Amino acid sequence: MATAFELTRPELRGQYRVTVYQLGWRLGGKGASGRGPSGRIEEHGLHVWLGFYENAFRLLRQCYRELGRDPGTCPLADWRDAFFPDAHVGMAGAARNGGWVLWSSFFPPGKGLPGDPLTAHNPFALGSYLGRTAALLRSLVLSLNTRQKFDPERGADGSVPQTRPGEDHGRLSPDEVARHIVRLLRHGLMATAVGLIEALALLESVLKSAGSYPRPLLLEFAEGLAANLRRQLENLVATDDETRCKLEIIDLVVAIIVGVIRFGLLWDPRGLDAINDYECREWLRLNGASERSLNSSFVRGLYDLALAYEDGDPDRPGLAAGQALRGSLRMFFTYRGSIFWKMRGGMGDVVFAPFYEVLRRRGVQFRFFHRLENVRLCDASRLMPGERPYVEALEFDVQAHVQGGGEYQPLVTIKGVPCWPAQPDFEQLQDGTAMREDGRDFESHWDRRHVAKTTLQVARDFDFVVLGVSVGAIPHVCRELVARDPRWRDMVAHVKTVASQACQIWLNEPMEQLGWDEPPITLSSFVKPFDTWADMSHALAEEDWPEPPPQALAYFCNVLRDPDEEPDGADAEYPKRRATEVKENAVAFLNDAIHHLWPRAVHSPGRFRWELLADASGAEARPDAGPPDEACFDTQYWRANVNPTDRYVLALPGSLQYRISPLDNTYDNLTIAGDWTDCGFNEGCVEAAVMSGRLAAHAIAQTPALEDIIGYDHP
Amino acid sequence: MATTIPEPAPHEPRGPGETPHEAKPERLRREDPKRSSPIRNATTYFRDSHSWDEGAPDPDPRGDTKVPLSETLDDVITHGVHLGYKVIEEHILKGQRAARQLRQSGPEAEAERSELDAFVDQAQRLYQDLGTLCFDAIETLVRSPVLLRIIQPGAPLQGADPPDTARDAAAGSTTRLAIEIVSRHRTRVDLRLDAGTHLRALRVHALHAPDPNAPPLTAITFRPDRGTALLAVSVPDPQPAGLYSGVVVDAESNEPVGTLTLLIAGSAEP
Repeated sequence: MATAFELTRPELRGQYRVTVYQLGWRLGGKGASGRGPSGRIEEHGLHVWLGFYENAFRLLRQCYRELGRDPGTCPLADWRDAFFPDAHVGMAGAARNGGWVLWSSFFPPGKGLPGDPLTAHNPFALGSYLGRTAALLRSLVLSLNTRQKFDPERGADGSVPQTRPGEDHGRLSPDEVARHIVRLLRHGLMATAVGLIEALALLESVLKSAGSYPRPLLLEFAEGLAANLRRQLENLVATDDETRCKLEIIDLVVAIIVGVIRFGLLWDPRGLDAINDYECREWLRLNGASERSLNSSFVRGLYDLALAYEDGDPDRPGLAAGQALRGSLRMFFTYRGSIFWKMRGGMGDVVFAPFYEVLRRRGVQFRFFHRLENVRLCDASRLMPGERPYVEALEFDVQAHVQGGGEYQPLVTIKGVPCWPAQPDFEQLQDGTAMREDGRDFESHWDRRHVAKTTLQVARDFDFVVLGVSVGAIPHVCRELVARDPRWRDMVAHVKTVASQACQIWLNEPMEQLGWDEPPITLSSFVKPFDTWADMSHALAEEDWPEPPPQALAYFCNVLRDPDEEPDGADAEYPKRRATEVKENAVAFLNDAIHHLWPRAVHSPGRFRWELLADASGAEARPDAGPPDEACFDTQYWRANVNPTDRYVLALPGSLQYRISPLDNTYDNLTIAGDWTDCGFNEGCVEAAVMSGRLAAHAIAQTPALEDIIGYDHP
Repeated sequence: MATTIPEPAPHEPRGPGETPHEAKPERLRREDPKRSSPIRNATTYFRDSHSWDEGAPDPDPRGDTKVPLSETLDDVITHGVHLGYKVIEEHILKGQRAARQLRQSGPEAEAERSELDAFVDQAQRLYQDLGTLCFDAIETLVRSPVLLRIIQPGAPLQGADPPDTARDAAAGSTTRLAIEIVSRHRTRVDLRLDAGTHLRALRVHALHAPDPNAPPLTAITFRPDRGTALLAVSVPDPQPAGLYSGVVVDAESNEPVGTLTLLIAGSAEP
C-alpha cells in the first residue's frame, strides 16, 4: 500500500498506473482485520503502533488528509480520531516469593506527534543515544537511595546543587564542562549524592560528544564506572521486587554503554549492524550483564513484543543484537507524543480502508480473489548481452469471479466507519452461495480451490512488479527465483518466520471489577502461552453490540510453536488443527493464569468465571442449560496465524545480511516490499513495512528521496 | 502484489485465457539506484529534502511543528529524568512502607531487617565509591592533552608522549605489519584498522575483558622493525581466558583508527 500510495501521488501527475492483485477479499496481510458478529473487531493479533513509526504515521496522516472524511458522519474522520496515545507499558515477572509481580510504567509524553515534519537536526546519532542512556542510568542510580527522600531541589545533604539534576549538560561547551569539573574537584562535591548526580550528568555530556574525546579514555572511563557499579551491585541485597528490577536495568544500561564504546560502534561505518551476528543476550553478556539481568522481565518483555522465538520455541529466543539495540533506542528515545499509539478500531478499518479509498480515488485498480502462484523469470538464454534478468510473467489462480464481471466492493459500513468484513461478501461472487456452503477459505494456504487461472505478461500487462507477499510465501510463489538465484535461496533459508496465536475475549464486567486496578495497559513477559495482553476496551465503542454491550475487551497473543515436520501442502485440515490448539491454550490460560492479572475473574485459581464472556451472536441461553462452562469460549475469537503470508518475520542473529533490499536491481523490473526486506529497520513491524514500501517506490520512480525515508540512514 | 504501468493502462484480462492486449515493442527497465543500502556511520543525518509536505500545511494543525526535533528529544529526556525523580519518590515511599512492615512484623523479621539495613548501607557506600571513581576519571580527562587542546585552543600537547622520530624515520610509508605474540595461551588476534591508516605510529593503551575482575592486557606495542610495523603482544601466564578488546589510536593525535581484539583460550600451556 505504501508503494502504491507513493507512486500515485498527485505530484507525479499520473505517471504510474497501479493495479493491486490481492489474495481473498481484504487488504492488509498480517495487519488485516475484519468485522464479525455484532460488528466486533477480529484481528490477526495485537497491533500497537510505536511513537517512533515516523514513516507509517506520516503516510497515514497524509492519507487521512486526502480522504477528507466528514466528522459529522464518520467518527474516524481524522487520524487523531483513529489513534490515541497509550503511555502505559507493563511487564510481568516472577516474584521473589512466588506468583507474579506486575510492573506498570508510565512514559511521559514526548513533544510533537509522530509524522510531524522534521528539521535538519539529527536525533539518530549514537552519541546522543548514549547521552540519554547515561541520563537514564543517573535516574536509576538515584532511585537506589532509599535511606532518605532525595530532594532534587536541595539534594540529600542539604546543599544546593549548582546545576539542577534534570539540566542538560549536553548543551555545555567543553569550557563549561571543564569549569564544572573544576568546581566539583575543588569542593569535593562528588562524595555527596548531589555531586555524584552532577558527575553522572557530565558523563552524559561526554558521551553525547564522544567524538571530542579520545576513544581509550572513553572506554577506560566507561569500563571503570561499570566495574565499580557492578562490584557494588553484586553485594546489594534486593529486599523487594521493585529494587531488584531496578538493579537489573542498571546492569543492562551499563552493559550497553560499555558495549557501544568497546565494540567501536560510535565510529563503525556499519553502525549497530556491526554486532548483528551476536544474539542480543550474548552481546550483553559479553559486556558484563549478569544472568539475572539477562533473564529479567524487562529483557523477556522486549523479546515477547518482537515474538523473537525461533520456530516459536520459548526456549530459543533469538534477536540480532544490533537491530535489538536500534529498536530499543528508537522505542525509548525517539518516540513522539506517546511511546505507544493504539487504534480505536481494527487495523483494517483504521489503516487499510482509508488507504483503499484514497487509492481508488487516484485510479488504482484492485483485483481481489487473486492468488499468486508463480513469478516466472525470463529465459536466461534469450537475454541480450548486458541485459539483466527480469520477470516475464505472473501466474495467478483466480479464486472467484465477481457477479456480472464488475468490480468487487470490499467494504461494509459499521457505525459510520467503512470497514472490512471478517468474511467475503459471497453475494457478490459467482456461485457465491455454493462457495459459502463449501466453506471456502480464500486466505488459507491449504485451500487451493479456484475458478480460473490468468497470466500477466511483461510489456503487455505490466512493466514493473512490486512483490509484496510475506517472505513466508516466497518459496511457494518464487520457485524459479529461489532455484536460480543463490541470494534468494539464502534469504529464504535464513530469514525465518514464526507462527503466532491470538485470542480476543469480550467481558461482561469492566476491568476494575475483575480486579485490575491499573489504567488500561499493554503488558508483556507474562506467562506462556499468552505472554502479551492489551486492554482494548476502548474499541468496544466502535463495535455494534445490542444492549447491554460488553464492558471490557482483552487481546492476547504469543508465538505458536511450529511442528517438527512442515505440514504437507495438501493438508487442508492443518489450520483447523492449529486453531483448535490455540483454543485449548486459551481455555487453559483463562482457567490457570488469568487470576494473576484479574483476581476476580475466577471463582478460584483453575476455575474461570465463564459467565463473564459476552456472546456476540445474541443467542439467548436455553432455560435447561447448565451453569456456564468452557463451552462459552466458543463465542469468543481466536486464531492460529500459520499461513505463510500470516507468519511474523524474525530478526535472528546472523540472518539480517541475507535480507535483500527493495533497491536491489538484479531483476530490473522487479522490486520487493515488506518488513522482511533489508529496509533499514530490519524487524517485523508496520514501520519496517512502510519504509520498505517507500524504498520500493524509490526503486521504480526515484521518489521519495532516500533522505526522506525517515530513519533509513540510521546508525 | 502490485504491478505498475507508467503510461495509460491497457484493459485487464477478464477471464481465463483471454489476452486482449497487443504486445508493446520493448519492456521498460528500472534505473540503478544511487545506492542500495543505508548510511550507518556517525555522520548520518536525515532531512526533509523533497518531502511532499514541504511548503504544505501541517498535516495536523494541532501538532507543534515549530519546535526543532533536537529540542523535542531533549525535552523527552528531561521529562524522563523528572519522571525518574517521581519514580524515586514513589520507591522511597514503598521502601519506607516495607521498612515499617518489617519493624511491625515481629522478632522473626529481624534477619530481614538487618538485610534491609545492609542494603541501605551498601547503597550509600556505592555513591561514595562512585564519587571517587568519577573524581579519578574526570581528573584523567582534565589531564588529557586532547581535552586541554579543546578547552584551550592553541595549547601545546603537554604531557603527550613525544613522537618517536626514529620510528617515523624508519617506518616512512610502511604498509606491512608483522604480529608477535608472546603467550603460553592459545591466542587469536583480530586487528581492524580504518582504511588509509598509517602503520608508522600506532598505540593501544590496554585491552579489557568483559569481566571486570580480569586484569587488562597492557603489554602491547607497535614499533618499526626493519621496514615493517611490528605489533607485539605479551600475555602473562595467569591471564584469565576470554575476549580482550581495545582501541588502536594514532600515537600523535590520539585519534582512534581501529580496534584490536585478542581471544585467549583456556589455561596456559606448560
